[in-house]
Amino acid sequence: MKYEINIEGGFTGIPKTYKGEQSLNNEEKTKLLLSLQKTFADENTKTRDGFNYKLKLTDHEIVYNFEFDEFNIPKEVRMFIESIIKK
Amino acid sequence: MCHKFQCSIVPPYILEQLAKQGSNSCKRTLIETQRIAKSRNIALNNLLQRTDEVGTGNRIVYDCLNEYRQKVKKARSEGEDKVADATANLAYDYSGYVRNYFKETFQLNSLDGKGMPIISNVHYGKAYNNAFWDGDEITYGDGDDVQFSNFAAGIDVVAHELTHGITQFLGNLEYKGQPGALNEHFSDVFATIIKQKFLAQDISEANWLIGDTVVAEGFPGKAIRSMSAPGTANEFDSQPDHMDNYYTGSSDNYGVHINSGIPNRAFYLSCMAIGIDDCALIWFQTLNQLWRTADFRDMLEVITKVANELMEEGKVCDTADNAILESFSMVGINNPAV
Ligand SMILES: [Zn+2]
Repeated sequence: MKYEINIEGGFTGIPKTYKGEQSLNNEEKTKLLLSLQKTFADENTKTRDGFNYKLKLTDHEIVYNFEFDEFNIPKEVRMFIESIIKK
Repeated sequence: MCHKFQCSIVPPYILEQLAKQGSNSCKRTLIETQRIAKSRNIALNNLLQRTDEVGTGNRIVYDCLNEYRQKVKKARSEGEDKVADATANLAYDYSGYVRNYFKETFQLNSLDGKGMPIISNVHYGKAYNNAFWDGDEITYGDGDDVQFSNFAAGIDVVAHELTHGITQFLGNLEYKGQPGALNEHFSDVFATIIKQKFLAQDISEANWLIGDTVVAEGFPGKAIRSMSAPGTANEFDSQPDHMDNYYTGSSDNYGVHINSGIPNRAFYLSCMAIGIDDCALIWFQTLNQLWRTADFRDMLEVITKVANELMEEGKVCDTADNAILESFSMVGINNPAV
């Protein structure tokens, strides 16, 4: 699965971009994609210096675009991003 | 039949139906139930308001235990002895220092003026490179120790985040574009002032940097931002120091952490001209008078008015208004009326 992750904002205001390809087994992929099917909580508009996560996933020909803040990012997406940052 | 005794536990919607059908006792009970509910609400509101009035900004520090959740485990509350976790103690001590600065300097009772509790969360997430205010509380990451270290260990970081709380209750500047850049600006201004007080520094010996104590060895720069020379703190620092280089893109909520460099430099120049204590008072009173959508020009208009009022009251030096006009002019913010 191809990914492009942009993390903006934060106290530092320094944007970070991660781009590449990550191989996920079927279970991992299903978990991740299912977490993106849920209804997300509204953004917390009172947050200051919170991160803004922009996520673009390409699985074969299908492109998924999502945007999250610190409070509505699904756990599975956060874990996915964490695994990318660790690489 | 509807006896008064029975009606007292009947839900209001059934009482309404029975009252509509002509039951006087149910009508009376309904009115009485509504009266009691109303007086309960008034009592509850009074209680809540009384609680607000007697607040003193008590500190509570929570340990997130490296989870991405807040308030996981209470670490230390107001008045309690030091705990084993140094980070919890730092968040406690620094939030107390900031709270006391605003209380002693501007008679501001906690962040909201009503003594709201000051809640800090430490050890948020894993190697999390950030600190943020969420409308109610502050949250600090430990940093990855490559680029950034513990965010709760920077007095300027703590002051910056707590000032976001104060801004929410005073000017409530919206978090995008120029009002957002002003929101960031005020946080950097009071982070700078409080850091210099904390370190007992004179303006001539201060480094005017934000976040210099939370950057780690692998970070390509000396700090996160510079008040005196925006754009020079690190390799990524894109802050302009003049309106000529104003950022017009959409990133970072239309540049809230970027364009704040412009008023930040004006603040630095003003401090150099009239001293940091006069500037602190002028900037605080200005924040008090700004509004949600105020832009840079609105800020200049309000700040010169505030400076004039404070000069007339003899609270700041008699060159304050001109010094501020000059400083803003040097960064390209000019009053259209002048
Ligand atoms: Zn901020």
